[in-house]
Amino acid sequence: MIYTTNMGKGVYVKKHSISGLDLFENSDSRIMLNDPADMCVTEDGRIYVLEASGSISEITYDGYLIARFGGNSDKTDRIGLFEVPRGIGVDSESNVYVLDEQKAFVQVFSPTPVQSGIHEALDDYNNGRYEESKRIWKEVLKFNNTSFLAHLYMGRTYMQEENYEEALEHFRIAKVKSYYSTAYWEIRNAWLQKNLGYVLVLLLLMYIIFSLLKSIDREKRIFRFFRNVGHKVMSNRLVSDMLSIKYAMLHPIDNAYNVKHGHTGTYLSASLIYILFFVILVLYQVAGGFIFSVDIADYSLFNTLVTYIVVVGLFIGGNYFISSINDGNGSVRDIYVGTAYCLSPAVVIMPPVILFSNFATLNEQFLINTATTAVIAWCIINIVLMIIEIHEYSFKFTVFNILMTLFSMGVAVLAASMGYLLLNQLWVFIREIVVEVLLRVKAG
Amino acid sequence: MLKRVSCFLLVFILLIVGIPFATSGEDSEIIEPPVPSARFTNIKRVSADPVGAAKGADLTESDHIVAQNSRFELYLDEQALIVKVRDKSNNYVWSSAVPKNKMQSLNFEWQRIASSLLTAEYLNPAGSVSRSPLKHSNAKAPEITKTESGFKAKVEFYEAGIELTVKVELTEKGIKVSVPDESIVQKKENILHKLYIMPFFGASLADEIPGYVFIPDGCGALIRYSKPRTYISSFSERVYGPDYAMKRPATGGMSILQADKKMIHMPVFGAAHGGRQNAFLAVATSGDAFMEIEASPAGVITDFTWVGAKFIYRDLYTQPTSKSGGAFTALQPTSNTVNAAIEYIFLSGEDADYVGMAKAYREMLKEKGMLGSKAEEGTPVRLKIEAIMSEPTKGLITNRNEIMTRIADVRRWIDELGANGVEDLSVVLWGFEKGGVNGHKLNSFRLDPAIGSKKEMEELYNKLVSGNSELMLRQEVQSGYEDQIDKSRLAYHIDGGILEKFEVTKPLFNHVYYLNIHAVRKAVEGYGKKPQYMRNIALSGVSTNLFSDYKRGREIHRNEMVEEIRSVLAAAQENTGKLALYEPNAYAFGYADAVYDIPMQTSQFVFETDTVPFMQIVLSGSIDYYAPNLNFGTNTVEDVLKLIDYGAYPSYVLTEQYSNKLASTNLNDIYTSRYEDWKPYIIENYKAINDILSKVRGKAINRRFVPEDGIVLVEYEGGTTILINYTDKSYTYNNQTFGGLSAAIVKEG
Repeated sequence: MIYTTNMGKGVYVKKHSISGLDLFENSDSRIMLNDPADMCVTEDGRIYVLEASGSISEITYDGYLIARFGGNSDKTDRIGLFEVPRGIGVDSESNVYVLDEQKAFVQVFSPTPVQSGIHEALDDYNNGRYEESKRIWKEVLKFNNTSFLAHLYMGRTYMQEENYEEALEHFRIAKVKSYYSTAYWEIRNAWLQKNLGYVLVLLLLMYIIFSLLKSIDREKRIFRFFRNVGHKVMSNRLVSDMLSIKYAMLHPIDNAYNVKHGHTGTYLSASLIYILFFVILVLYQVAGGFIFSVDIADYSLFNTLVTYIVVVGLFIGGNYFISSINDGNGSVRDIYVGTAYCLSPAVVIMPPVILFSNFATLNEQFLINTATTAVIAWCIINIVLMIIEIHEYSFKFTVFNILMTLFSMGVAVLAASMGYLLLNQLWVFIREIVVEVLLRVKAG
Repeated sequence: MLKRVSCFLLVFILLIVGIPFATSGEDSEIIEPPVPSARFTNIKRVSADPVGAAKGADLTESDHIVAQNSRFELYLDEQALIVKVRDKSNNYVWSSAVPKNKMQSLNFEWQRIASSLLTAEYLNPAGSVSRSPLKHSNAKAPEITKTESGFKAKVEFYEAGIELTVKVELTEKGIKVSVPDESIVQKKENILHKLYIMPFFGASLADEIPGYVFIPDGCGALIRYSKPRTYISSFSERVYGPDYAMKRPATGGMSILQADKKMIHMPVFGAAHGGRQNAFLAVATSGDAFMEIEASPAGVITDFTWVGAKFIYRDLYTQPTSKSGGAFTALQPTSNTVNAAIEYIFLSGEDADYVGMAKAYREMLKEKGMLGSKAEEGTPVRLKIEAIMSEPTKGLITNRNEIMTRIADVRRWIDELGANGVEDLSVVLWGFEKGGVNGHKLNSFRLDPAIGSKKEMEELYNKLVSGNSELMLRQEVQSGYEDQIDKSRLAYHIDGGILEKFEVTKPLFNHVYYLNIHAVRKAVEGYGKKPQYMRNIALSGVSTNLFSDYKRGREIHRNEMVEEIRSVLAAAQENTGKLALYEPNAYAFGYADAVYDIPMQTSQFVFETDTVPFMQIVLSGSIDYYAPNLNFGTNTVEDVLKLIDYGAYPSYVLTEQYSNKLASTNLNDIYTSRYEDWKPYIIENYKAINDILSKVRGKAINRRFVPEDGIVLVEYEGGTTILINYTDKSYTYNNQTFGGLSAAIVKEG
């Protein structure tokens, strides 16, 4: 094995196979380094890299970070820190020796019992002693319950033991989606094998009951009451407006006509659709199951909301602005309501997709991606058709209108940010002068 | 041709012979190869006590006696203004200046500093800092006036154009050196910045004498006299930590891997000459709020190892003019009220070591009523368990409270630990308020029903009290994150902004605010209204942080803040049942029924050769003190041995839930805390500690010896002696053999 790394910032450790390929190339856990100064490798394949800052990274044979220690001494003489680190070495007991050029001495780092445990557990795992490895990882987790590596390897050993439930839990804590997906596939597979028969029978039974009830109803009208209530509710404008989502999805042109002539849609119903769409947008990001969601800790609802309002608002405003100078016939209400109905495919189709993604693994990712892309395309087509209808444009002119709308949105964003920057600069400048004058006067 | 060849040959031969001669000069430059020292790599820092004799300074014809008492003689060289003190018990002479014959290695400026009683650092009108030692050929001769027990000298710093009066008086225990503020006259435009007092008092050249310098870094550290080595910097730290109101804390970042330095909790330093021969302890009795301790090991600038105090009279600060980093350096508008005074206590014989120094300081605190006697005698050692009840974590819309422990869980722990022989407990609840540790409002002091009912808490209290244990509630009333603080009652920086700290590495809250002392007082006084089971308080922050407050119109300077804090702590004592303080500074010792998180480590400077339990010796016999949580040590037997060595009681931070639930909260530094995981270690370690320390509970440490590297003998009052063997080899003492990595009582008192 040959290990290399480059000079400079933002580089990685590479581990080369005999053919010269970098074995860490596709690893999801590469450790980015700044100005590596030296590196060394232990007999069992662990890598220690020393950076010019004095920080030392210990990496497993497959590229995961074990620990980071050392650091820059920042002009003090404290133990374990370095001013100009030059060389690193490691002995058979994993004592790490680091030479500092300026301080002119070698400092030795000895592993703590937990650290030695990690080394041993890695070695056991690599040599197929999974039982022993698991025992040590368990011990490591007692002393460091937030260790990524320990959870990862606990998961891996449980996978070897085909204990997928436990493995899943550890992969979830370690936040490794690829492994999580594999473990989940196994669990789902076992569940399906056990329960698929029942599920099919259940579905069949439900179908039979449903058909039976339907045929009875045809003769005896047993659901008359519900139907009457249904009709009454349907006659409410808001409800009927909301239910025309389904119609709008499949008949965008007709629906746009209805909107334009006041038959369908109000500000209220459109706003409800926008809210519904926003909820679905958020759910798509955070409620799609562990594999397809972002971590809530990294998610900002507020940012999503602001972006959403700005984009929708700019589109409606921009479109009205462009079409009013291009002989468009649509009013603000028409565009606001019409655009809302164009989002109907997402409102109808995405909830089942989100539900499905909760039971999907990375193998089914293409299904989710395809569905999402299709829905987006559908919405865009609906928007095009809606604009044709509302503004009574030709297709060619519609494309022009949309491009102009997008352009005006861009210009608006640019203008706003430039205005902000300029005003901010001016404000900072004035404030700085005033503050400095006041402070200087105060200081005498 | 032959001529040419022979010419060439001659040149060649000359070259060959010449090169070694030419280079031999360079060879002789390398005097000796660097000597590797085991101490540099030995972080345990338990090395054998220094042995051998030191020869003190010489008295010369120009030294005249100015005062004497039964123990000491005070000498003064009026011309050079050199102070010498002779210890009558063994004729050892201490001197404030380095004799001329040892000055060869010093440059001119340092020769002046090394022979000056005082050295001033001053700011010139352009704002730059320069040094001005007293010794200057053009300076006015000091005007010396004899006083009852010493002398007064009116002196001039020639370059700085500053005059002041220094008083030196003989006391029962040594001497007192003071500089009254009213005597300071700044004649030119220069401003007195800092003043060094007797920096070279007791300084030692390289390793010419055995001994060490003592600094109160963390629990206490020694710098042994040794040959010069290359160091980057000396030790120069502010007593009671930095003043955030003068200098904003560094923001840090993900790439900073440096642990915080340990604080200086006591305004003391000292030096020991010879193996238990002569020593002094210096205690700042005034001006400590503006004191810095500087200790310079041989190799930093000079070949001397010296330690001294400097006092800050007027400081510079950075005045930002914009948020984007625009700033200028400004001068503190008024001078600090310093009135610097240092008492030097001289020790000789068996007491002339850091233990003697600690005992002298303990005695001094007791005389001043700043240290009581609250430690209980002859009972089992107390174990502190700190339970994290809840902590906020990020939710989709608002933060969510992660319940880590319920009161019922704590009850179960107590039963289980009790059944395993751990009966004497100090149970601390942390984050029991609604919102958890880092999310509750600082002014709310109410139990979150999600972790248990008031009745459960009262039952827990009664259960603990009936079993000779105690229930404490952890409170931080000074600083908090954005959700916790009443922003109308904040403390202010000298630059006009608020005191704040950014913790960029924390996942949820990043902005720490500090309340002013009035808000702190109000919170503390509120405890008096609480039922008895909620009145035992473990207070953090206010006993450790010492910041000025520059709120316009009601400025509180650092020295005044010491008094404010003392009165707040007095109010806390009045309004609480029991009061425990986290990491207290010396001025807070007297208010604590127990000290939590006592430092067990130094800042780990390379030149610090030994870590010593100075603070522990000071507190021993007076207050029970608990080590920081053992969860985060090296998890070896050495952690336990150190507790036994230092007489500190064990602490653990515990949760019922897995600690990985804290990973994306602001308590992400707590990576191991689950009770189930720790239970066996707690029981085992407690037993080991209790077996030994229960025999000396409530007793003061009297002596501490290190006969060999890694072997420690700690003798308590009454004579009980504990042996701690940090090495992995067995050790024979008094014909008894003790195994490696063990501790035992070798003599019953």
